[in-house]
Amino acid sequence: MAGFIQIYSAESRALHFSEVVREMIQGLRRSRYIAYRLALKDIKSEYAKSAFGIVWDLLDPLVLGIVFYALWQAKVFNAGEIHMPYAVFVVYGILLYQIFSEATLLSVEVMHRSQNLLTQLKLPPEALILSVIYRVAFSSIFRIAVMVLFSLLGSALSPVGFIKFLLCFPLIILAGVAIGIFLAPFNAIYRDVARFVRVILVPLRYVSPVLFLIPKTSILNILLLFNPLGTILPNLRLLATNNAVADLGLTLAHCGALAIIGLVGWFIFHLSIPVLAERA
Amino acid sequence: MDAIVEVRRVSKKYSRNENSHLGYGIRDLFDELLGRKRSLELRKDEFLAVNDVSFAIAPGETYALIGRNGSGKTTLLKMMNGLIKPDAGAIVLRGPTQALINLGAGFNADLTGRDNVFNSASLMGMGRRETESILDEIVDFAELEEFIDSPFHTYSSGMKARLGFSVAVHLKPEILLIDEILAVGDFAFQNKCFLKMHALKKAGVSIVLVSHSHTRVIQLCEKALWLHRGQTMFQGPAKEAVQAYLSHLEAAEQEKLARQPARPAEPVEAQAPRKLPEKRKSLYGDLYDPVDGLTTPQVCLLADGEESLAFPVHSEILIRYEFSLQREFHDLDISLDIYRRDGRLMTSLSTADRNLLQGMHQGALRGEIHIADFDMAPGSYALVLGIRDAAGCLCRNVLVEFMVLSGAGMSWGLLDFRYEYRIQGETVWTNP
Repeated sequence: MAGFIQIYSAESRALHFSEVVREMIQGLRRSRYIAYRLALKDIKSEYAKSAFGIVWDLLDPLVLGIVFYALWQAKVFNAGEIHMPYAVFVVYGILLYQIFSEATLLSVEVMHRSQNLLTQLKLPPEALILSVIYRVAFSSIFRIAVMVLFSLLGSALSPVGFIKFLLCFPLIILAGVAIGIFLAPFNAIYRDVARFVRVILVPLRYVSPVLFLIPKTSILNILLLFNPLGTILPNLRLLATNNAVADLGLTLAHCGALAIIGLVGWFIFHLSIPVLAERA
Repeated sequence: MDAIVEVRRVSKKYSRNENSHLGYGIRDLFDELLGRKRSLELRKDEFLAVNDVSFAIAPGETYALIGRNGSGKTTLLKMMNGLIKPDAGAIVLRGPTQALINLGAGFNADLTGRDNVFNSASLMGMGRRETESILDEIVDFAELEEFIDSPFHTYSSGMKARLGFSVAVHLKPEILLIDEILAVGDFAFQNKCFLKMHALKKAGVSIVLVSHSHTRVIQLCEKALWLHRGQTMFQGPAKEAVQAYLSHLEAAEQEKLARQPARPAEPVEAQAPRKLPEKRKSLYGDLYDPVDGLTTPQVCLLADGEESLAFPVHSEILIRYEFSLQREFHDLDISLDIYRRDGRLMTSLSTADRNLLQGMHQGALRGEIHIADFDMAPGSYALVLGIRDAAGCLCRNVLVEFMVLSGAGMSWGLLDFRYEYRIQGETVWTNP
């Protein structure tokens, strides 16, 4: 028992900031295998009795894509200057948005969904966060495959740009996770938080450049200043198809803001588990 | 030598009201984030689930937490595992700790037993290679060689419990926290767990055990802490703690019995055609109210000559019953069944075998059963009187609930024989 000592006290852990940060980093290192097992368990049980598994997840956005493609062809709306075939534009938009919303919702609900585990086993909180990232990364593989397929069919694939896209792609998952874990402790107490996020995610798809570009003159364009999807999502799409980036300054500002939200959210998440485990 | 576990003045409060429980959760979260000191002051609807509890455990010692349901044992165990945060005090653990709060924690019904072993072990902090190295041991202990690749939902509850216990105890912690797992699974499994815990204890593992099995507590633990409504009532040698706890239970049960109003005698009912009695399900079998033409039977218990509902084991007992048959019934049989309070039938004293009621068809009937040495183990019992005739059941009801109090020594099992223990031909103990 030499050297090993663990103290659980009533004192607030927030007073020991550097100690908590060290624990968070250690937790992240220790959690890789636990998170892998948690994600694997979720994936296996989700597709346990399904013959088509992930196909259902892909079908939903593709149906929406087909509808918007038909509407675009019928000139019901103008997608703006998109620099690529609309089919490619809309598939990238919808699938990237689906990845973002999946990462956000899984993170918001992670504490509540893991309540049984949290009241019975001592887990590093980071294992839950990493498990969400692994799980979204797994489903993203299939979504990226569909994006590549559409890029090839539409002759809109830049090989160099696509490598950059793959390197930057985790940003869209991390954006969802950053927002999600910030809200997760509050959702552990009041389930209204996740419901609110679900409600917000529906209109957010239409005020972000998912299905069409927001006209520069539109009042919605002001909203894009505060909407990280307004830069991250179109830039990922542009990278993969044209090896280009737009609004770099604003993109970096959005990434910085998300990094701050994510780090603060992680700190809160780490401290809140022993306080909220029984209430989740 | 330093204690391996120290619990210092630990308290934890909860709210009885779900809404305020959530509201306080938000406040507690902000207090934690803003570095504010927690207060032990009780807010509306709050109570102390654990109240100022302290104890220490030496390395290799086995310590029991005993007490009724809701006394704070599991809350204390969860705080010791860091699952929930105390509102006051501190807990110091000087060694890697493993907790067994629930045997199926982390298991998934859709996965195979093997997948679940890897999942569960990973959640308890084990890597893939480490788990692989002890996988055979785990499967062997759980006796699931043939089924380890079958889906977990096809396992019986006993198989699930065996696998859960097997994973947890093969992780070789220095401190093991166990919450009432001996109540799960069949007798053979319970014995196996018990032997494994003995082996761990011999290997120097410190164990904190929450258990309602007092026999096991005395056999396995050096010390015990009795909690009642979150407060320490006794801590010290396990046997003394269990005795103190059982005495308290007996006193509480006696008090409850004393508060029960005496059953007034039912008025004699007028003769009427017989109707089928209505059946009620109970822990003691089917119960029936008296049919028309039979008065409600009255029973009284005399212990050592005095009417009593609580008497020490080995008392001389007289059970007296009486009722009236207001019309003719044929082939009567009266049975007095004694049940333990959990529904186990201890004995049935029947008139049927020897045809003891031959010739009795009508009128008042009084019976007495004399038991010179009542040797059922201390505990709570119910006396059920059943009356039948050739056509079926006339009446079957719980007529009295009584307690057998402990005598001089401890007793386990169902009976407490009067016996003499000899070693090398010399009497070393006489019970009672």
